[in-house]
Amino acid sequence: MADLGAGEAGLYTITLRPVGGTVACGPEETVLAAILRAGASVMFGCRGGGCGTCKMRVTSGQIEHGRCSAAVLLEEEKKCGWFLSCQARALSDLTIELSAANKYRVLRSWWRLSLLDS
Amino acid sequence: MPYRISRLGLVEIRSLDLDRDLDYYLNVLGLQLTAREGKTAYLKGWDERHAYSFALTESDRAGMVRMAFRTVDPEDLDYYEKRLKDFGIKYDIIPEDYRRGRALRFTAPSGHTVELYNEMDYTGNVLPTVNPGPWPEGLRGIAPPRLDHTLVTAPEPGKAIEFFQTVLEFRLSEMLVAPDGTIVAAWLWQRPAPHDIAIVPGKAGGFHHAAFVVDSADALFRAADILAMHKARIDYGPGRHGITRGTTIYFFDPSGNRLETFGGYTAYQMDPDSRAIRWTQDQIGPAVFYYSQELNETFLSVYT
Repeated sequence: MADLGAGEAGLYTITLRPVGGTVACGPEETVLAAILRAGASVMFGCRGGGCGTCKMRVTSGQIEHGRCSAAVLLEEEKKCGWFLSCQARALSDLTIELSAANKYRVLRSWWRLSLLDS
Repeated sequence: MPYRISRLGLVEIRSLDLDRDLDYYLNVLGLQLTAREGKTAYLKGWDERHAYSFALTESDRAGMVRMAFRTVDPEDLDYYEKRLKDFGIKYDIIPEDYRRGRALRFTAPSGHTVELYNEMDYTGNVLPTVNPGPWPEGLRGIAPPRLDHTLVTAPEPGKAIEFFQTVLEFRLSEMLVAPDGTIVAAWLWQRPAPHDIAIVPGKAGGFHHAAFVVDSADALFRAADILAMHKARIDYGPGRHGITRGTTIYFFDPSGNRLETFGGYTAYQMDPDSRAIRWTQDQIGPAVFYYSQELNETFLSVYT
């Protein structure tokens, strides 16, 4: 499994479930930016907190939501762990439960990265 | 049928952070600021002669507040008021708005707030009205001369398209047609250009994009350079649409609203006798993105 920079000083570790693999996230970057930087493909759209395409769910850890449209990220959703990954920043290590579509994309990304290593 | 709507006169969009987004609209897109009044900024392209064509209002969400069309003559507003009554469409009369006269406001079947108006302060463009040069120096950003069109989403696009055709007397320039013959999406005009408004399937009241004019291939690539230099979020392009033939860059403002630089210089001129061009649904790829010949993932799913 890919472990891209996770565990380095000053970085939080994002664990992507259920595919396995971890991604390092700096304090200044969004969760989406960290995941994309690690080479994992996940769904996103406007990257402005407006469209809701990049919505994900955190099952452990703390995030700061950033500026998100109340039309696509409801207060009730926030209470259940949903967040917009293009705006959110990690405040601790995170565990993210991927949607079925994102799970497939991340698995495919890890497979592509493994081709570069071999 | 005489034409009674001169242009898409105003698009108002929501901003999650007006200070941040206004900086983007002034320095990256390069619109002219008419005024900032409380939570709303009024803007326009440098070649537009009325007070404003674009408004940005701070909100807790992104997306469209309203679109407004300017009638050719004051009497055309009365004409449309009678038409709204005849068709049983509920409307409000808005006596005045910022630097604008009376307007009719109603909700289209697509869920969008639509206004018709005639009077808005005539401020002139940024050039002198006597012996002007061809373009102003010292513009910032992409600096489009004017707003061109908007594209919005509708849960039942057929109903919305029919409303714009029958009640507001827009004409079809192009349409995307399903195998059973139903119109899935349409490009509609009154001004003699490929479209003032287009409607595609999606949620009620959805805002797909507002388009500003770039008037040459040089301007198109310069716009792409500026977006990339500012690390703006380009969604697609530079490219070309099969529908309208216009060149395009789709990109997002910082709140996630999609904008377009539209190159109508490559498009055709409409004639009152122009008849609609038909695209079959299996050719939606080249219809929308002519060069890549396939839809990207975001075109039908990402909007505000």
